[in-house]
Amino acid sequence: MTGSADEISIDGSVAGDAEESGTPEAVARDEPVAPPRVVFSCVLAWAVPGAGHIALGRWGRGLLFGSLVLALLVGGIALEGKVYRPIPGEPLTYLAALGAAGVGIPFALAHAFGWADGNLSGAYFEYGNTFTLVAGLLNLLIVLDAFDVGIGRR
Amino acid sequence: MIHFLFLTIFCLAVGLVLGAMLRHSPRDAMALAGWIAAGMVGVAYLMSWMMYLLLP
Repeated sequence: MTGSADEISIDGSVAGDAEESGTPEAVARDEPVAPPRVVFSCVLAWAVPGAGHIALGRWGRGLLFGSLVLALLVGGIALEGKVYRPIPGEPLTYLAALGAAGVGIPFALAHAFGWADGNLSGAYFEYGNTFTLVAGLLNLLIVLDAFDVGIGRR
Repeated sequence: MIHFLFLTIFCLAVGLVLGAMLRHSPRDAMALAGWIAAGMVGVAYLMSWMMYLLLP
């Protein structure tokens, strides 16, 4: 939903007060940007939660999305949940890993530093699994939102 | 009680992301986030009681 001419958005910008098109300020007033920059923003949004929106000038949303997604991921790991990885012979783990990988670089970091295994006997193991998986799925939605912002649909 | 706290935190986080994604102004986004979070908590609470009472 777009706001009216003088409405203040979540990002603190006021619609209609930018000067050039294609700039982050122009994106903030719902103008489309060049396709390569849209693609770059989507890749950035996937790799670093919230960064895609920040690159498009939506600082407020970017910081909100990034902090919430990372909080869910870190919270899930702190609850001794696992970050799903594909396990040969278990097809459902491929889907779960695909969802968890939606969080981008933090997914790779979690596996690289050994934070992704979880503790099966932990009291909150399943909660942690849900947190880490949903962090990835939400970030995939955020990538789609960054695309919509880039093409001027939002 | 700690389980309900985790549920609430989870629902608030999801509600905030979806609210900010689907609404432009902070007021509308917060309202939608509240509705989504409340709905998720309410449905989870209801379903947990139904499972407790109905399932063997």
